[in-house]
Amino acid sequence: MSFLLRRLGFYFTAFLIAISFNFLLPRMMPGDPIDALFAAAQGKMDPAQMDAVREMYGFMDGSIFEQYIAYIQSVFTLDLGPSVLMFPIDVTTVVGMSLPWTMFLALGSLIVSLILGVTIGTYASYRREGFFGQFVPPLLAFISNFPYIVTALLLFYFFGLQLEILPLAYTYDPSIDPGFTMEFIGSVAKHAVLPMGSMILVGIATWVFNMRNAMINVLGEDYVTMAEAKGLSSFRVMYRYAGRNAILPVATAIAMAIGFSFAGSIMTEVVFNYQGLGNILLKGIMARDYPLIQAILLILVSAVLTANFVADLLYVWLDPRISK
Amino acid sequence: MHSKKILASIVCGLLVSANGVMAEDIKQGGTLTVPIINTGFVENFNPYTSGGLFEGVLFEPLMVFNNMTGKVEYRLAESAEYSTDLKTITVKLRDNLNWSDGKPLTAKDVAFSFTMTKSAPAFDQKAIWSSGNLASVTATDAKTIVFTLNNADSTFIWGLPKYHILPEHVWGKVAAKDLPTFTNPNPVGSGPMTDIKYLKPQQMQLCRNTNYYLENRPYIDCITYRSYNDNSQVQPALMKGEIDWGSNFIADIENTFVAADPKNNHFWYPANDAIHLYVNTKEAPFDNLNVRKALSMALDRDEIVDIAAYGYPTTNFNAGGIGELYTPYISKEVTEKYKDITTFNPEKAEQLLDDAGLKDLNDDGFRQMPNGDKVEFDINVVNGWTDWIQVVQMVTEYYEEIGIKANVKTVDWAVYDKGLKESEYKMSINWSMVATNPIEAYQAYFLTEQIGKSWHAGHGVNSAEIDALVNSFGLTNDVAKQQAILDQLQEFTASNLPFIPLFSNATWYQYRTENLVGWPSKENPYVQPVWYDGGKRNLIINNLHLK
Repeated sequence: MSFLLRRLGFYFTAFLIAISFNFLLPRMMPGDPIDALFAAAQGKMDPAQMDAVREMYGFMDGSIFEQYIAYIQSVFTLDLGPSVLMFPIDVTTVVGMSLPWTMFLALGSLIVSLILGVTIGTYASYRREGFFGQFVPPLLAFISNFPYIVTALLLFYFFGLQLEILPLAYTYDPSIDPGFTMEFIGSVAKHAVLPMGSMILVGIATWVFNMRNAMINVLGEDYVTMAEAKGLSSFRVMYRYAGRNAILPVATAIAMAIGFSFAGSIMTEVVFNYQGLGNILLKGIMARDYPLIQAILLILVSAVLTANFVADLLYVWLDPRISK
Repeated sequence: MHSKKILASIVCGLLVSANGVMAEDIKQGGTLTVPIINTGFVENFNPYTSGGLFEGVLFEPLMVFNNMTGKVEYRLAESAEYSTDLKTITVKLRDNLNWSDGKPLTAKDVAFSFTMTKSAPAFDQKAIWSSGNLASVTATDAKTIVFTLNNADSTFIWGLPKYHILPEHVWGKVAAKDLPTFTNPNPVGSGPMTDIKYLKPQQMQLCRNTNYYLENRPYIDCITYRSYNDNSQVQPALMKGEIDWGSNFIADIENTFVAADPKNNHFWYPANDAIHLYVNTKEAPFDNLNVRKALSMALDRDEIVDIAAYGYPTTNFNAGGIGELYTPYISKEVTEKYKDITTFNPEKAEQLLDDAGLKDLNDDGFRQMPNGDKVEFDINVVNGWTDWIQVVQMVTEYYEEIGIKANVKTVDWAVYDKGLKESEYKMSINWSMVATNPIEAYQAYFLTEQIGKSWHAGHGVNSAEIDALVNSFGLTNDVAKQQAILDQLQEFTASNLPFIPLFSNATWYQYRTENLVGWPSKENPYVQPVWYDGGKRNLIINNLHLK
């Protein structure tokens, strides 16, 4: 129990530091939201109006310290104020619109690459002398070393622009009404293929190697030799005897991967004009929309910290020695 | 298949020419699809906070000042007149105006719409209240609105279309402090499209106002807005025929967009705001007029436009401070008289610099000040504005030819903006004002009170005399007298050269005639074809129809 309390204390401190950075980072960029607004208008707005507009957005009143106190309050009450980019709509509403799509993209690609990766890793380790074990893991390692943005742009170019078989933008065809219809679900799936595919291509190698390395250790254990000696089918040895034990370190790596997956989603969304958090974050940064940037970074921080906390809990459950 | 297409296009062609002859044959119906570059649509129909999405569409202006034809196009208003002392404007509304909910639109609504912005300064788009010149707006009867000014100002009226005419029975219920955050759900308007059919994050549709005051207008049924992230996504959408109207830069447009469907894909790039190199005349060696002249003569404007700006802008040879956007107001006399300043002539430029005492004393290829100090300066341009960066790059190359060392300096907007306003620059590229009348550009260039506020007044050429000349424009309503003032201002600008004219930006405008016709074009230039101006797009929406 005291272990958990210590961890909670640690996460709370980490959270406070992280949200302070969330506050500082956007303000360290040159220019403020009103400057950005006037820059975007390229002379179409009357400079005489600048002060009145600045006042309308309100949140920049007071010294930086007063702003900080107000910000901390807003984080704990979850009342994050109106967005500049989509004034006067609340940041919470804006984020609420796009968060589901990012979760769909980030978690969906994570789950798919996890399942595929673990399967491939298991098989590759078991057949590590053969063609599959020799060829597939290095190939995947090669692909995964491309940054998200490069893979995404390559897929965008070939499948979207050249072959024109998959859509280039949006989460679904804007002419379709959302709902539980085959048409809508099909459209969502079609629009998710490229962004999710690029994230899977990049993410999969991690799981292949995690699993493969853990498996190779386990495969040397006596009970595996024993199982093989008993004449069990290779499928049974591979998955029931070796695989189940090898998956433990993989489970704990998932926590880390959630954070990376969200980060990767941000890049991918921008390339495919996917209406998730990443897309909005980019626009928010360009518009110096402090409340929006803060809210999105807050979500990312919370996602990473929560995932790590869950991993800690998992450790305790898997290995009771830690809690002592 | 192929022959069918040809046949169809012949039939369509016949229909178009028939339309020209018999106006009553214009077909009703059809949908206009336009791209909107934003983060997605949200339920906010407040015209002052929704990023210009609805003006001219949901909300009809009183009138439109058409700077391409020089005419006033009356919309809700039927007339607007100044009193002889230029202190009162009387606006008369048309008969039988109604809101989209069926209630009558009266002078009271109009007076309310203006008075409302007094308590919401962020809505006071042209600072009519905060500048203190507007004393009151009153409805004297159901059709008449009277604006009373403290000081005579014939330019005041141009600001009126910036204010949206809103129903008092809806907006009158909103407390003043809530106005900026009011999202105006279930909007009531008087524009051509007031019926919100649907609103999804990536697309929304507005359909016709059945109470619109013009019979059979609009011809089209609906407008669809589609959301895009940036230019690069608008381009493929335009080529695939997803949208009908583009207002963005497209590289190599003849080969990418037009060639995809030469019959239906068109573009027209008339002149927009004039782009200048603003020079800080308070600093040596720019305090010497001949140096500024030399820096202007050193530039081959045709080449700059062709190479750095892809040939789309209009070269500006008018030294008088305004470009082809204001064609009817340009003084040909001034342009002719100062032609040598804007004509490429590096030999003359070098001679002027020699005469000014700027010579290469140490044989390093670059000129020095008479006392041996280095002459080297930065030209400010905004980070990421690639077309301008290329232009400035070319400018520095031309300067190198005449022995002047200049560098491209890309800075963030905030730095650039502050530099221009507080005249912390040696040379900086920037636009000039797009307005109803060029006097507004001169106000921004020269008025002493604009120093520190405008981007264009930091060059240091200011004086009480020139203030008086600029301000005298508003004291007369006589077009000939006003033109005389503009001529004097052009003469003053050309003879003092506080900035070096380069070219006029292009008005980016692509349109597709597969579905709709009636677009403004080179052959029928009835309005400057811009989407972002509520009044101008109102005229275009009213003119589009099925082919």
